[in-house]
Amino acid sequence: MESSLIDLPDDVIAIRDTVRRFVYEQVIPREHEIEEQALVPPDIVQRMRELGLFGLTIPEAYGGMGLGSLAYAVVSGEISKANSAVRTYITVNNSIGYKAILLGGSDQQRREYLPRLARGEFLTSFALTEPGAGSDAQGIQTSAVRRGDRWILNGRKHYISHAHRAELFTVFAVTDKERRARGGISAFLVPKGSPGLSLGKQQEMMGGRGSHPGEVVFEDCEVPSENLLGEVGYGFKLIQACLNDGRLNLAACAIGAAERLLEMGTEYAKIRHAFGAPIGANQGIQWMLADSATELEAARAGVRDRAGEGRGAQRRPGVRHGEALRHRDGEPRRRSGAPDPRRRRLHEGLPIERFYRDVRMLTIVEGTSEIQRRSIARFLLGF
Amino acid sequence: MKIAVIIKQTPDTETVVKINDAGNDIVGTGVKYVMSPYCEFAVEEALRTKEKLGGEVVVVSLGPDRVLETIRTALAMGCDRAIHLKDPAYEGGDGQATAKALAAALKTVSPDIVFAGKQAIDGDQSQVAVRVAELAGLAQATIVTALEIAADGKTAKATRRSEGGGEVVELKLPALISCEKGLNEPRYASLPGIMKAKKKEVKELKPAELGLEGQVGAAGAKAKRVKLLPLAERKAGRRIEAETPEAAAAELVRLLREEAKVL
Ligand SMILES: Cc1cc2nc3c(=O)[nH]c(=O)nc-3n(C[C@H](O)[C@H](O)[C@H](O)COP(=O)(O)OP(=O)(O)OC[C@H]3O[C@@H](n4cnc5c(N)ncnc54)[C@H](O)[C@@H]3O)c2cc1C
Repeated sequence: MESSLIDLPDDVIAIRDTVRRFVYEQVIPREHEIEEQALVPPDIVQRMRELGLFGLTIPEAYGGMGLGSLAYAVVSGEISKANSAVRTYITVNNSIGYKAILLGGSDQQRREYLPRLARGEFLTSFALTEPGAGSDAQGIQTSAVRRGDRWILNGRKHYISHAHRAELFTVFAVTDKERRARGGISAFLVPKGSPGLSLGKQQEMMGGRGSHPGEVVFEDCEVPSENLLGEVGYGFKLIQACLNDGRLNLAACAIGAAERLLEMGTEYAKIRHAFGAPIGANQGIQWMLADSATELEAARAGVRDRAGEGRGAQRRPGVRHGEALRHRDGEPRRRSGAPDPRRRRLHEGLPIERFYRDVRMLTIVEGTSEIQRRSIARFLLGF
Repeated sequence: MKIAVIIKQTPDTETVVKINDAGNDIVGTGVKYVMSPYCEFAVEEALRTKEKLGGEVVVVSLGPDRVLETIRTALAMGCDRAIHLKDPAYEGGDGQATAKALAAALKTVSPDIVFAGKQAIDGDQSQVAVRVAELAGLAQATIVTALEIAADGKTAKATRRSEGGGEVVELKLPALISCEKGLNEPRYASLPGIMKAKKKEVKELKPAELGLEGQVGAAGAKAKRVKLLPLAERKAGRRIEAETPEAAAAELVRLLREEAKVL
């Protein structure tokens, strides 16, 4: 993320430049391949491991880098300049994929899973959404009951990123129907291969090809009692803690995508000729580019400000969501949408066409744009 | 094993450089600086040597403040510590003056093996590595594309590229190896590596500390660049106008054969 408004510390710049070089040299040249095969090639995943991308936010004590939210936002932005699926690899593991283990896991569970996660040895999934409950997470139906020294889970999750590749699921289930959000939802660690756990269909979306969201099914699925994360009824708090961080980061991802789009748009405005001149020579086109750059600058500064350490960002949820909302909702949609010089390049197979589909999910996952507006309004109104 | 690598910071190959008013140097502002690509091969080979035979990699570079960034890159790739020859007195040297300073700095390390790029991509003089080896009394192999160091760390076998062929030389260590493309594929600095690099030692040495007062930089130089000649302007391309694709292709072939004489 380039910005003249808020400077980045030297080490964050060094990290950004390294990730940028990786993305431009090794990922972007293969973005068509990734899209066509709906797969992030294993050698690219291996390079991401070597770079340390899987352990960005995991604390150093557990083998990660323990990056703060500013550095993490900057890295996420760079990664988002390539396919959405590549980003998903990194951002799921670095937020919703591990957070609940850190916050709710026992010391032993943290030691068992986090260092391996930081090395990128396996993928995790965060299994909250169900066919009957998305935005209103407390409406989930999946249940967990205690039987002796085990928990028995029943229910169905869907749209779960990496469902078919994950080795470990953080699953949210109802343990008390009456209390629900107020202590009636609990979180469980469910390793792949647990009895009664199966995978349903893969649910290809219009974008993010290669991140394979899918269904996860629990039929009398058994896990040992120590796989409860935190205490009984602690689940809803974990959901909020996991999602809050992710939201700011998704804004950073949208900015990265928008930067790439502006780059492509600017280039196109230079090389595409019409009426005997590059289309960029027309003021109408120039203003599109200038407006995009201006909004992007504001968005970047906003996210950096929110992400900056010691600014009380954690205590100001409404404003934080506000920033996130602006970038998630406005930026990618605008930049990948119709009114700009790139609109002629909507045929399938061009990066612009893929971005158009890829960025949609940034307005949905981890709380839709409407839900974020709802949070902001409730914060303002004091509800 | 004590392993040293000497590196140079140069303008990025993609930077468009401008010549200053005096006509003898480039304009420094707005230039993006990077590690000279051949030095990247040197750093990589140094790290691989350490990974195979153990020991420590010390990176040495000469230049102003901005060079620290390139030193940090080498540290982030995995070098253990650094020596930065930073002082206004080091500036403006020729190959000999620079080599003198580097050789003196290397003496404080007493390396078993020294890696360097075969040339820096700015001055393209290919002098410094050779002179360092000479001044430090090291065996040397230049333009190396493959290297095998004996397990006892006493000898090395280096494959050198030469015009149209190559040769293999055996060296007694300590030796200096100047690295050519093809020797290896330099790694990226890992992100944890970048964070760790911040904490690694970068020691600054002044000319006096090397006993070289008045002998380095412009004061120690025997050759001086007086003029930079700009690249010849590229001639504009030629557009083939023809009625049909067939006619255009025929014309292109004719031009390639008769004018460009490449067919
Ligand atoms: C690509 C992709 C990956 C995903 N990965 C995961 C994952 O890894 N784990 C996981 O648990 N989930 C995942 N999800 C699910 C995602 O979190 C949900 O889709 C999202 O929370 C919305 O829920 P829903 O689809 O059920 O929509 P609903 O909640 O049914 O909402 C439908 C529409 O109504 C709007 N709406 C709802 N309530 C209000 C309100 N109060 N005011 C105004 N408008 C409202 C919503 O904004 C939306 O437009 C993923 C989804 C996608 C698309």
